[in-house]
Amino acid sequence: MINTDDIEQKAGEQQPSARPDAAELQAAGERQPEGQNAFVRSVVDKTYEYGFTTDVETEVIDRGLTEDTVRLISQKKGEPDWLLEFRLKAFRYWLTQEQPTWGHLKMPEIDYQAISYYADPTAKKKSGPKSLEEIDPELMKTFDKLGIPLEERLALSGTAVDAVMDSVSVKTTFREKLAEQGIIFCSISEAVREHPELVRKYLGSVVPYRDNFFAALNSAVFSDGSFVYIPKGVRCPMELSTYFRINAQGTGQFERTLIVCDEDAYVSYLEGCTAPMRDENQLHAAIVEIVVEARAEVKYSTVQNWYPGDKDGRGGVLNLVTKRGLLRGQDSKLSWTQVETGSAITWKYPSCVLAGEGSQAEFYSVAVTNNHQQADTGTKMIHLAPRTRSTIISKGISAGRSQNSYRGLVRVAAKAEGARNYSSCDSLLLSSACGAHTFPYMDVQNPTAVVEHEATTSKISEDQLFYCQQRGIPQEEAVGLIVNGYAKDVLQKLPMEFAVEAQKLLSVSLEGTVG
Amino acid sequence: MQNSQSATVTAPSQEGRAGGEAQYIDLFRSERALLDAHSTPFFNERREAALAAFERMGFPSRKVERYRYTDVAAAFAPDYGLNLSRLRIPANPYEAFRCDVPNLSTSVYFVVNDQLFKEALPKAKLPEGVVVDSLAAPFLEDSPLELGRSVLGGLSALDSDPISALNAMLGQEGLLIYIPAGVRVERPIQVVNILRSAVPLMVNRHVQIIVEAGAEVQLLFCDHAADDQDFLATQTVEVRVGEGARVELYELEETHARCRRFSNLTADVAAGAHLTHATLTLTCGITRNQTDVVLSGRGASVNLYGCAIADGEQHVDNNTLIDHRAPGCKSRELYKYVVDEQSTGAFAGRVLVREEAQQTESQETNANLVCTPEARMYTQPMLEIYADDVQCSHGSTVGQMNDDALFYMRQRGISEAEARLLLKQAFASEVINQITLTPLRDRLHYLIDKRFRGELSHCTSCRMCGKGSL
Repeated sequence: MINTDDIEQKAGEQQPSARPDAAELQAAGERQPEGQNAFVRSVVDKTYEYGFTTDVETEVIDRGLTEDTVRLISQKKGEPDWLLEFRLKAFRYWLTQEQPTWGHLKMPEIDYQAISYYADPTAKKKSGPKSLEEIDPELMKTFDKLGIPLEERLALSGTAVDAVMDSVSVKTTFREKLAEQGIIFCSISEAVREHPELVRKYLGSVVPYRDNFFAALNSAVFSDGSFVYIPKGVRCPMELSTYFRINAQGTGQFERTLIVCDEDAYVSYLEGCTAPMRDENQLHAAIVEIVVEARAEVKYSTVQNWYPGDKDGRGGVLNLVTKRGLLRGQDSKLSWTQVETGSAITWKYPSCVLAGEGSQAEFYSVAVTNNHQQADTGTKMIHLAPRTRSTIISKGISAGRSQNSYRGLVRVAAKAEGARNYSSCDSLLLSSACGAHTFPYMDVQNPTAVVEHEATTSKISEDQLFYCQQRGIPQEEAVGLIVNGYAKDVLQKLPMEFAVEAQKLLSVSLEGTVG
Repeated sequence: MQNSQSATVTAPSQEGRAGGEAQYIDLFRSERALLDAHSTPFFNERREAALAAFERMGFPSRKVERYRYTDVAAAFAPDYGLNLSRLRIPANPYEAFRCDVPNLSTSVYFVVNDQLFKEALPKAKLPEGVVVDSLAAPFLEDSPLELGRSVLGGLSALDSDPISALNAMLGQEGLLIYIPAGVRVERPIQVVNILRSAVPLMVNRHVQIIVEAGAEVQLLFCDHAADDQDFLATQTVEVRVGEGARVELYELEETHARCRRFSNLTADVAAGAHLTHATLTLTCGITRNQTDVVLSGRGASVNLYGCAIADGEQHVDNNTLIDHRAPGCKSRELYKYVVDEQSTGAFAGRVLVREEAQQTESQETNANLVCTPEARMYTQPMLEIYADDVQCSHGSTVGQMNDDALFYMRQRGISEAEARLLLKQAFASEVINQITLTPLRDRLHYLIDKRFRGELSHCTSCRMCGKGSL
């Protein structure tokens, strides 16, 4: 008989030899070698790969938040009066509100006056970059490190990218090609200038500024973000993508994404996030609003890898985001897919309001927490119209000393005849010091609705681990395999290139958690 | 009789009422002497602390997580009288009432409002050492009971739950059920709670159940209202299950639309012990049952069952918390609701598995039938897990009857109404079948059948009104 302890020991012996390699790689700041085994070993030390800061000239306004700050942001962006009015209303409402405390989270106190609400890495160029050459080379290197296919040479990957650094959108690719079909994909500041009628119509229509504390804050100080408009009947030919990065120290990122998908249109939208290592907590309070008209379909995928803080829970990003889609039209469809591996605190519920008859919504989520990370995430499915359907698949993985909660609401209003919901949330526990929690809320008011929820929590199966190890797969790798298998239902919903990244992220996030 | 009874009732003070809480606090302050004079010492000892806690918390708003589904302040807003001078109700409940479960031989005790009816104690003797008495008994000088005061009380969350605090603030008399170590009580003990009053009445019941190591007992609590009157009943039940002991506690509520019941049960289950608790709500006005169980010793286990059948304006809210504090414990929960007409059902079950509670097994199921567009069901099964070697699952469903099953029965000549009835019965019987007391189980099947047929009046077994229905 083979003793598992022996195998564990052997696996343990292999690790030290891999370490120097990893350190070298890290020092060189290079991407990892090909292949899962090599990759997994290369990151045994589990440092945060994207934790570099970019030394770009950044214009940061003074810290603090007053009505003047709001006016200054608006003025810097040369906004019309109606938008300033919107910001001020939100700001005044925000002043009357208190930060909510109901999350299953231990939040560090946020000093809203110690944050700078506007950082502009492109400030030295007055009108923003016109072409790739004009972008600060340091900034380009940043994006190279992030592996963003910003340059045209990556046209093959078929992704149009809008990169948002700190608060300002730095570059949008493929604009012209998209414009041919009438698709608008630009930063929200540009959209305010060039398509004010659209922005005015939809901004705040899904997430009103009174929605919650952080939505009010964002509505007051949002600096940039992406705007997407897909006209009637157009199938967006490529995946649209935004990369967010917080770079400057002591700043918050408050971006705002607005996606409008008109009748019979289709778009797939990707969002990726990173931030450098900082000792203090950085605040990220974004809003994503999606409007889906009749028979249109929107896929929204997020791979969130904000800096999670160090091993002892110092620093990291506070990710407090409001994301909501309104399925306005009949038979419209919206799908949220999220892979959450970063952030010290993740507190968000990408939601769907199913207001169109026969509309369909999906939510697929993998949330990984390690060390001292905390996540309280899930979704809300509000069924308002008849024949609406929703599916929730949530997979939580907790390791280290982290706390991972699923919280979701399924509401079926009295008029939602024949509404159907299926929710399944599973939790995997990888250490004895972590927590996995499930808080599903259901509120059903229609007798024809069928709502089902199931959840399981367990630790990684000893049998599965033993099986892998017996076949010479080291423990670390075996855990990676099992976790990837566990999360497969969600990962396969991601667009291909994101799925690869997400898989790697899962392994990185869970390095060193077992054994 | 009714006149004399209403004269004894002290109405809450009308003056200086700022909110719903003030009504009770003012009453407490002005009638303190009367309260103390007519109470068991046990209650007087904790009044101050309870008052402080209640003043601090007030009635929970719907923003308080555990109370989000029930509007407590509204239920407590009307003026209810309180029988502070403890005048006895001069009626023998035996004559007025029989809670008949055929073939079930029990030792029956009556609690009229919140007073144990000592004039009608069961004739059969209980096993040696078993006590079913007023909570005043252990405080009497000649009491054979050697219960440390530390054993009594202490489980209710007086400082964190406003209803428990209010109950302790105004409580006067309690019921003690004590089973000594190793005693197996063959015959179930039945406690019939009867609400009787000619004027709107508030009662504050308190029950202490102490089952020592290795003892076994089955308990059945039945709630009835004998008068068509507004009643508000708060109840705190504390259950201590000693090492290796076994307790089954069934609570059956058959009151009427003008009754409001707020019951908080807290239980502590020691190593190797088992507790089964079932709450069956057949007819009621507003009912909120909060059940908190702590599994404090290795290998303890608990089964919580609930079945609620609601129609009209009924409101049934079951809120449970199972706290796994020791390794190797098991918990199982099964709650089923049928919400019809304009009724509301709510279920919130939280299972907490602490870091030290490795090898926990926990299963939580909640299934609900929503029968009309006006009926509403809230459900919230929660898992909070801090240990890694666990197997926990929860599932909940809300839906309507299976069309295929209906069609199958109709094909075989069963009328649609009958088919629906059968399906509802089958749905509810999953919970009823968990009951190990066979006569009670049969009786419940019968009651539920009648309930679904609409033949169950507000109280079938009450000979007093004899009206059949209201």
